[in-house]
Amino acid sequence: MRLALVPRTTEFYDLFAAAGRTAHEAARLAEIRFREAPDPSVPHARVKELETEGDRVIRDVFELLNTHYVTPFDREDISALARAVDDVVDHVEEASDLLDLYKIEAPMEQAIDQCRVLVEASAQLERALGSLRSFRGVEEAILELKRLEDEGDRIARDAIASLFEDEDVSPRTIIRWKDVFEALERAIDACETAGHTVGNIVLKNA
Amino acid sequence: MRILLLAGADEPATSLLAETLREAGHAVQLAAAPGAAELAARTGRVDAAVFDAGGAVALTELRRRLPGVPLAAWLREREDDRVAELLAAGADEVLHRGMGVREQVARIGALAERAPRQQGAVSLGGLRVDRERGEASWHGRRLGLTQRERDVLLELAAAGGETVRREALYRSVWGYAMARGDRSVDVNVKRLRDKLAAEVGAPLRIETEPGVGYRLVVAAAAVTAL
Repeated sequence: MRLALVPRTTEFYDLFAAAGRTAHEAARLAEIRFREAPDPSVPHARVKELETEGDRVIRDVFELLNTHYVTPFDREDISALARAVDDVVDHVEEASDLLDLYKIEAPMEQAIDQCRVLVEASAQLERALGSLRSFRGVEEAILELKRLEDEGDRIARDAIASLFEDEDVSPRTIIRWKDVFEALERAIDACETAGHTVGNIVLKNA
Repeated sequence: MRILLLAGADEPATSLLAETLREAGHAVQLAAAPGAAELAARTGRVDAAVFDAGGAVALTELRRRLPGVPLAAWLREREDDRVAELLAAGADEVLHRGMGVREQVARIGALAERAPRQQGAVSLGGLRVDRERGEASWHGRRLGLTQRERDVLLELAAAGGETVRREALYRSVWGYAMARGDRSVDVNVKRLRDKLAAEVGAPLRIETEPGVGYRLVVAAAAVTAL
């Protein structure tokens, strides 16, 4: 039996890079679904598959944590980051699911705008997670995530306000879209939270 | 409910009525002449119209211009003969000065409530859209449309080629105010346009007025063919 004196920490990096790719891809597909509603070329099942894939990657991270004495960063940081990235995909999946669940007849421009921000944010998160080994470009990605979260916040507030501008908007429209706007906002926030967790790791280890 | 109020000679009474109707939760549109009434009805569904029976607008003229819309006549003074005359001529309700404003609003509200939600059928050139029967046809040939698409087509046809604003189209077809950013009208118009292009082609098409709305264009040849 060979003793692993040098721990296989590269696997952690690979898993986080894969989780970042999955989150970005899920956001990209959700954006297509929102833009092309009510007859999107992408079924929700494909977003769901990515969510399952994301869960698997996160499970692998925890398995590695449980079987390795030496980890590239603090254990609690690794588990916090794994959960944060998992949250992104979960919220994206939730928003995408609402399109079918609420039988949405047509998109709203504000939701398409939120999706655009979500895709950009998840791309930045992918970039940050892919650079954990070298920390190269991580700071820019984190700053960009913060900016995108602010932008998402503004869009979401304006989107919700648009539902209440006229007394006579259908209550169904309000219920449907308020939930969707909030779900997309949670997904954007989750990207920023994950970025923040990456930031903590950089501060401790750079 | 959407109430169309035709301003008569008695401005203060009209504006008081308009105010009270709005307080009761109705959307009120004010118009000054039969032509304006027609235009107002075209830009959205009207559930009832009130007109000054002492003014220049004739009941028969309004009936013709607002088919299917219940009409309430308003009199400056209650005169037994005149009330009977108006009812006989087809007014659905007669209101008069001296009647409490709340009673007037309740009567108009009840009238609007009883009204059929939308005009029954519209023909334009070779196009016929019949809401009751759930059918749309082009020169007698049935078009395969969903109910939503049919309703949109009916509203565009009822406007007779005039541009219908997105918000008005939404109001008429969905029955609610359109939330800013809602693409429901555009999505349904796009589907309808694609279907018309496939089933009818150039003689019947929907044009976009950018930033405003849509209008139905029936080719001249198709109109004269009837």
